[in-house]
Amino acid sequence: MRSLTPVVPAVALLALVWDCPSASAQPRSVRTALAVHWSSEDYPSNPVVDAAIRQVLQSRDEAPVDYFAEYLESDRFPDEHATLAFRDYLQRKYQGRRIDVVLAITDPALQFVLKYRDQLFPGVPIVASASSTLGAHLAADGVTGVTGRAADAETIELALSLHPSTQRVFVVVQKLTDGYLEGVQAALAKSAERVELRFIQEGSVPGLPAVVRAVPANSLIHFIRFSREDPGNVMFPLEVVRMVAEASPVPVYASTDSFVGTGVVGGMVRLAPRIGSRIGEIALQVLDGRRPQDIPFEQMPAAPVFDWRQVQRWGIDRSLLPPGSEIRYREPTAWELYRWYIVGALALVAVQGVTIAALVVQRSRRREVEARNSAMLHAMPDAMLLLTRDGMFVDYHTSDKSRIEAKPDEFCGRHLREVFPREVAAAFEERFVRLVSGQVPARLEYALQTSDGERQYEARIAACGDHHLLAVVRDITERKHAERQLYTLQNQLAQASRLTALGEFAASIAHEVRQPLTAIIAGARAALRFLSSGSTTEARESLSNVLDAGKRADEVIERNRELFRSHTVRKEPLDINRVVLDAAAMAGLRIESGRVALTTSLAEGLPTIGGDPIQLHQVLLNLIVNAIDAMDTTDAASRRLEITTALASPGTVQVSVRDNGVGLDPVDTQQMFTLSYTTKEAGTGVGLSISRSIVEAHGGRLWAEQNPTRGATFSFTVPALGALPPALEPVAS
Amino acid sequence: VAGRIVTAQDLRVFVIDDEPLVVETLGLLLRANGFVVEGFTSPAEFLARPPYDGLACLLLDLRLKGQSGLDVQDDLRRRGYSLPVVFLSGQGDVPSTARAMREGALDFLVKPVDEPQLLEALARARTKALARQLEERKQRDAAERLARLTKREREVCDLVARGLLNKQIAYELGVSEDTVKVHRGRVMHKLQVDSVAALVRLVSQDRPARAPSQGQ
Repeated sequence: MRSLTPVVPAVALLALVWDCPSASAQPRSVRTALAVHWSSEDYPSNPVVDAAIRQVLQSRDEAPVDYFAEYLESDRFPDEHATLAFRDYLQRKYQGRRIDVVLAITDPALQFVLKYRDQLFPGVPIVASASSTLGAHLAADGVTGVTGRAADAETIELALSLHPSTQRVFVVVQKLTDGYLEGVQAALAKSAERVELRFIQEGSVPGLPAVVRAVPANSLIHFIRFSREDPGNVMFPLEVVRMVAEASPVPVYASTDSFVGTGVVGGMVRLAPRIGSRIGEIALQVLDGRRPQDIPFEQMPAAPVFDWRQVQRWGIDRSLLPPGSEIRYREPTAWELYRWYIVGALALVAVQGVTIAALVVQRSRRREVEARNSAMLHAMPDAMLLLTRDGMFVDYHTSDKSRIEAKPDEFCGRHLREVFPREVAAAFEERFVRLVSGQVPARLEYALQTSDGERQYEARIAACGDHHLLAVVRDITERKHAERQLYTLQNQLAQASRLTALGEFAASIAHEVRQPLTAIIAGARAALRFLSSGSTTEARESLSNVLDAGKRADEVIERNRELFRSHTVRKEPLDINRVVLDAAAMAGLRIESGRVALTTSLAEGLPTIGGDPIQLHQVLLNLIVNAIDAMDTTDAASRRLEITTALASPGTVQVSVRDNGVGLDPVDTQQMFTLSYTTKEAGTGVGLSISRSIVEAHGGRLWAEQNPTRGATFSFTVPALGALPPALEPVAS
Repeated sequence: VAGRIVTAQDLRVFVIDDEPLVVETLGLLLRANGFVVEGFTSPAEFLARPPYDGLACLLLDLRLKGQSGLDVQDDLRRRGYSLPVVFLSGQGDVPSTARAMREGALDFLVKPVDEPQLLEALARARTKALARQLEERKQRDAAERLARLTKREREVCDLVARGLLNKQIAYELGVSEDTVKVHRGRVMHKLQVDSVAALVRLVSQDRPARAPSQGQ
């Protein structure tokens, strides 16, 4: 650290030493420019023009220019001696000082400079800003610069375009020099063709506001120039125009740059800074050695300028403003002022918005998923129990704690047998054994006494790893209830259809039986009549008719039974095994409620039979129900129902329903198929009779056999589709 | 037991039933009650019989072979038969009973029918047949009388029946009022009426088309 400290001052010193020679090595010849302005230094446009000139002239470091500005105040001191005094002042002031270029701004200044040029600046080039009338012909005299007349006509043109309904334009102008007014009038000749022009002739400034105030609607005021030069009570045009604009009931226009801001709407103006900088540039060219003669006078165009406040005040349609208009005094909008802040802020907000939106979407998705999961869990009325293969409870899950009757610690770590009733536990264990021995997931239905009364459950048990079993338990009480209701309805329907079949049978015989009955009654009555009148022949005839009718009645009944028996059957191709399984399914609840174990042994490759499935279902249901009823007295644990299908003979299929119930009384087998035979209290006695009718209508046979051991077997045959029905079998009745 | 004399009935009963035993025994029963009975086992048989002009009624089975008794009733009406119909039915269901009654069945008896209900129904049928016979007789009489008129007399008759005055009738027919008076006198005479009211009644009795008798 120490060793570094002295180095810094040494470097600084070196830099100073280095810099000094370069500054003084190139001494430049400093040139001098003198500007003569008209009117006082504080006349509004003067500082603007002057600053512009100064900026241009001093813009070049390699060619410095000494710039001085003087002010010919002939407007305020119009006397000749004042002008001469100014001349003398300049002469003395700049004596011994070489002036390289003179800048004359405005006509009076140029006139003054030209007039005293030989005394003051002999041979010095002049760069002027003058009206065009003064310009051009001076080129030969070493005078150049910019020209531009006041753009009064253009301003009026512009004003008229913004106020199309204008009828008159009042021009405020004051005689400045001889011929000045005429010049203005000539310049406005064109405007006079378009609109009525009136020159306000009021000579005094104080009278002016009253005159202006009287200007009618649909008029405009064009302010050219007006000032007050009473000694001690001077008013610049700027102040006058302000006064006029204030008093005017109509928009005021002007073609002077500095007037914009005083209350005029605007106008076509030559911009003071542009005049200044242009003059400065030309002066530089002259200083660089260019001859003024070689630089032609330049026309300074007028540009539209507006005071925004006035544009708004007069309700001017902004779109009518010419393109490229300079608009001043406009309050910048927040957008213009803080554009980047706004853009930044908006971007930030947008980014935040997107982020928030993304978060919201994400959250709603997550919620959706959560809701879905939870809905699924809640919709699943299952409890899951995890047990060891030995039957020990390990864990459980449920969507609804109330579904688990016992508290977790009451059964977790305990054995099935400690938690469930003996039969239920045994059933579970039996399934476990089957499951472990490699069979498919087991299903078990059981009932438990709960605080809600008896409820029924279904458990599906699956292996879970090598040591555990998972039981998904579902409360099926409601389902069972619904099934039971359905079963009841089915039963009622079956009963109703049986009754309907009977009803039709009854109706079909009713008419035919009533005919002989009518004859019997009428004949008997007739016989009585004839007998009472002694007409025995007729009486005998009548009674013989009665006899005939009685026989007829019997015939009718017999014929109808035959008709019913050979009732034609709709035959469609059927798989008898399918029919058996469907019927067994339909009888499922009945089998279950009868606590009967059903086994089916169905032969494969049986021929397709032809028949009405509904009728065959009816036969099978009938046989199944009969079998179950027959096992009422059999011990619940040993009730067995076996349905087998087999090929009885080629072209004939046999179905057998075997039970281990009470069996058949040998006498019964003769009568059991007749219409009214029943051993049941609630039976109609038509079941077997109808079943036999149906089977026979299918071309088959129905019979019953006593089993060698216990119970009975009911069998029926149905011919295969297309097979010839076996030769009419004797009706076993 | 003293033999009871059965009063002869003036009502002829036609029985149609597809069961001959029924036709036969009902015939015996009705004859025992003094009716003249004709039995048929099909509507066609009945139609083959010449139209009967006297008091009659029809005992019709509702359930005939291949045909409903209601349709037979319909058919008979269309053919111009106007005799009252008493239905016999194996079972009286509401719709067919309603239809039978709507279409002018006089009675609806359910088989097996016993004597009292049958006789009662036939008594009602007789009353109706009688009223109808009287009506028909009047119509026939009116038609016969009107047939005696000449064409011109008939014109005058119709205009009188329409309530026109002699003057109007004369104008209508383009004849003199006196001529009208002459025609009118003859009309009254030929029709054997003594007032305009009687004439109007007679003409109106002829009005209902005699369609029913055309089939007989």
